[in-house]
Amino acid sequence: MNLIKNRLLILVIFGIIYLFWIRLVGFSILLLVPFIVYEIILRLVLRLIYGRQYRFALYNYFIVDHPIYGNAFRKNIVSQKIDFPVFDKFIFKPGTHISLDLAKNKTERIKYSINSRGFRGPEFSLTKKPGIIRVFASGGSTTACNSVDDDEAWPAVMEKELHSRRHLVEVINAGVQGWSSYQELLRFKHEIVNYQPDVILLHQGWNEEFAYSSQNLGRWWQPRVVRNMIETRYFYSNKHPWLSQTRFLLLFYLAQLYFKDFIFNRQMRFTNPERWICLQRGEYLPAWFDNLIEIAREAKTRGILVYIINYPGLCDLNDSSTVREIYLKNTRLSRFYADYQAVSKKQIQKTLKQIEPLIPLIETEKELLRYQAEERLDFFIDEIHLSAKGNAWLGKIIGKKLAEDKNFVQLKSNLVFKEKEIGSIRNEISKNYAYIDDFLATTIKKLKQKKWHKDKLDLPTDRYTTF
Amino acid sequence: MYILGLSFFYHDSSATLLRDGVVLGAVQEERFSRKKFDNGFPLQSIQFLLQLAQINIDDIDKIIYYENPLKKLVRIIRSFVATAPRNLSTFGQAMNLQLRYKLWIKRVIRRETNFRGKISYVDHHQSHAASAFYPSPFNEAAFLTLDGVGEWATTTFGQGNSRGLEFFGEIDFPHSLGLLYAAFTYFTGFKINSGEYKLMGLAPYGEPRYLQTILDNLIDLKSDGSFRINQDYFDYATGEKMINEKFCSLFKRQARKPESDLTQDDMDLARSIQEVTELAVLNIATRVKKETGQKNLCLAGGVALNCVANSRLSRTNLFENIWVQPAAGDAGGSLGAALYFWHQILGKPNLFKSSNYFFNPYLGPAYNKKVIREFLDSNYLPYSAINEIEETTARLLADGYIIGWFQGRMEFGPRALGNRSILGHPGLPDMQKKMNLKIKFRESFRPFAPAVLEERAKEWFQEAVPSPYMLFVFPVCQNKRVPEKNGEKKLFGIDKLNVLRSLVPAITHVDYSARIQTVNQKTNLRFYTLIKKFYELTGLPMIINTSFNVRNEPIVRTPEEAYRCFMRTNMDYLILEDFLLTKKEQPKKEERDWEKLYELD
Repeated sequence: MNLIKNRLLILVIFGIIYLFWIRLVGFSILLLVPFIVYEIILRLVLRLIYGRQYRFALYNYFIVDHPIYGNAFRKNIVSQKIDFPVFDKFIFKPGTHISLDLAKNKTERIKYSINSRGFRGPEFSLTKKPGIIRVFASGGSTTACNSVDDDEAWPAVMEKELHSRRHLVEVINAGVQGWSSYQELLRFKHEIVNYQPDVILLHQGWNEEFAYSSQNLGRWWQPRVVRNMIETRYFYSNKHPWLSQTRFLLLFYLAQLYFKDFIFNRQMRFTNPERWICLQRGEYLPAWFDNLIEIAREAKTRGILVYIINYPGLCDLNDSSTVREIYLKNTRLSRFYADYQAVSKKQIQKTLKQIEPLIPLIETEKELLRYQAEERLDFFIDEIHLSAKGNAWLGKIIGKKLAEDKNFVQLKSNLVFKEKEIGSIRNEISKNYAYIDDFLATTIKKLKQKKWHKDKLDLPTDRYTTF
Repeated sequence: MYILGLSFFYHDSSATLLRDGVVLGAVQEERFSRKKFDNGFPLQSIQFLLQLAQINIDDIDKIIYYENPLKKLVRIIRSFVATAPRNLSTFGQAMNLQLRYKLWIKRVIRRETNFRGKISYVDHHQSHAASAFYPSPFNEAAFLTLDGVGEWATTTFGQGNSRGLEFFGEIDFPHSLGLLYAAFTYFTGFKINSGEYKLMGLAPYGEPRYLQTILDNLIDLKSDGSFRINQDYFDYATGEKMINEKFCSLFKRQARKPESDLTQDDMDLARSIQEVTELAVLNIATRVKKETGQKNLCLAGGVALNCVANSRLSRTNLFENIWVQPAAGDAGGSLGAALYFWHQILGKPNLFKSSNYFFNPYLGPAYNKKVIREFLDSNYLPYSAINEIEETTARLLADGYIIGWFQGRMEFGPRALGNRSILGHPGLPDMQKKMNLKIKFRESFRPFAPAVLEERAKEWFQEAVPSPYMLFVFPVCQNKRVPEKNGEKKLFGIDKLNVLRSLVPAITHVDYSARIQTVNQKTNLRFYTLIKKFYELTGLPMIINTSFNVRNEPIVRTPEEAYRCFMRTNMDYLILEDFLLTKKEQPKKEERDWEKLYELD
């Protein structure tokens, strides 16, 4: 909020000065010169507040534009060695108030390193050592892992688990913050296949839905389009190459004000029935399915094993009211937000179950059912991202399941493709579970109901309504 | 031709869809919104019906609303004018509601549904009368409608035949049997619109000490069958409360505070007003018989849900046959409005009438096995698929387990008739207490009803006649009763509850009555088979059948609502179609204070 207020204040001050200029200078100067002057003033102000690397107070340092994937991790960085204040939330401990003070800023960072190939974790060679099974864990932030050290992320834990079970594996964390299936497909085809992979684990879902709904509730969304860092993380817009750059900060501010503050923030409220209608449509699901199938096809031709992972979320539609209350009290979730997450999770689960006949599924959600309320909260840092404890649990579970899988042990292709089946599954992929559709319809109705409907016409309980 | 009947804004919103006069579906909005007696616009009910018929709103030819808002407005204004300048503030509130919302029903319907076709109104009691006569099995019958109030009428009667409905007479507001009963519901500490059936259940514990007081002061039963309510004691016509100080003075007490302990006086009041209601119903029914000469009678309106009064009327043999609309309250208004338009306005004949015609009350949503399996699998819930579920269920019931039973289409109306039910063994002495306190979490004085094999009903209940909608009570046969022990006769009030009275104590009320549902193969085959299997195992041709909900909660509609209710209560098993869920195998769910989710009824 403060950031928005500051931004607004700065814009108002600049607006006033700008109008003043209009009266003083000619039309041609009005277009260019003031813009440059204000850009300079803005930068000076920002530098005064945030220091030399003030740009990374405005946007992420760890994520940069990428010519193929749209955006990706900046290569060759280690969080604790960066000598200026950074503000990427995911490299700080959960709940940290990120400090401007460099020393404090540095001490509060977790160990978050990106190797020279742009993957989280240690370096790896182009060619694997003989006898080693090379596993890539592909996904978004739930794979890259937020707010845990490199060796606490679940792919690293899984590697240890497989080692303890005498499997010689090298697990490479191919998760990138905010990535969706199309970016993973591109990276798999353009890059990962060159690293001699034996197995790829696909851990997807949350970002598919978010990438769709965040773009003006799906209206701007197009399948198979990659967006740069600003478009994905700050504008939540479709492609705007001219606006979505950081060369002119004033332009960035103005565009963000429009795209984020006026469109995204308004549309994405969980009390907005349109957001729920957007979730009900599920138009992104066939596109996600197509990407998964394409990865699997490519993997099959190269003899790479593929697994999809069903990953737990904090909230479930079946939560008891007591448990839900505990989540609401201890997280940023609101009632509708929690329900939204629970429905979204069910949509992901349903899609993965539908795909299971084609690509083997590693089920982990069921294992977490025994943990409820406070116990479950310990596994999460927010509604979807796991804590160190959660990552340790997940890494072990996936490691155990892989170790028990015959195909993995024998490194035998685990994909069975029947074209007819692919077509029929795709046709069904957008359909929700009936009880989810029912829940969505009820929620949408509740949110659409006008206040008068609820408040004014309730039945009295101490008299018969004769009027 | 599709006709959509709607009832909303007063009590118990609902929607009914007719296709060429055939009822495709009818459902109450409370089942979707989970707010008991929801009076909001029944949007989800409409959406369900459209989905059921696989049509969209533009395919509807006509929407019929169940009462006339303009006539109602006139009544409200005239009522206030008659008492002016008293209750001016209430008048302001009432007019505000009327002029802002309730008068503009067509606009509300169009805004909520985007319907562009024609919308009409049917009078409130025309809707009730149509809901009583047209679904009944009779080609000719008298009808009697009794409720709180519609536009003006509170009671109407007449006859129906192939020419349609003819109204012979009516009693107008403020003289209302429904409002009189509601006043006592309030006075004895229950909630109006939902506590009336509790008052009825409480009546057998009391003595009719106040019968004469009520007849002398509050209601005048006239020789022509009509009645007049003495308005000196009531404030409901225009006031904010049902009763006034004079009413309290008459009974030398104040209204019982909700949820406080029941006293013998409350029970005596309940018994007294119940007796008065029965007398009033008999009185007017005599007039109906005299004027119409019909041998059959159809009943509707909220008062027709008083099954004790229905039974007393039945026992008089004034009419050979009595049929009561299962959704007799305002929920049935949507059904009646649609039927009235089809038969009465369009003049279409009823092609389905025959002596053995059965009006199917299972008009709500159903969930097939695929959907249920999806729900169970996606939530990792342990279950077993059973081939002969009736037999398995009967065995479990015979072993004394309490079972949630979820089958087919949901019932329309307030009663669970074997598709959304909690079932138990009626022969076990502690079953009533256990089910009331540990399953339903409701007042312990309330009795449970049996679902009994129709062909065996007379062996167990005196003078039992088919009662497929659970709207009649009959006494347990003498040979099935257990003789009272010394000292038990002296018991009074709630102490009577724990006395073993019959071979089926869980369904035997303190006056030996039972509100029965007769079941045959035609009405509900699966439910019938279950009871039959139970009979084969235990020799008892009946099981306890209570609605699948807890106190204050609307009856469950979906498998997940059924599961949630199952997990919150002490039910032992849940049957969802052919799937059996065992409580012990379910993942533990910690849940405290869930009761607060539902307002007390």
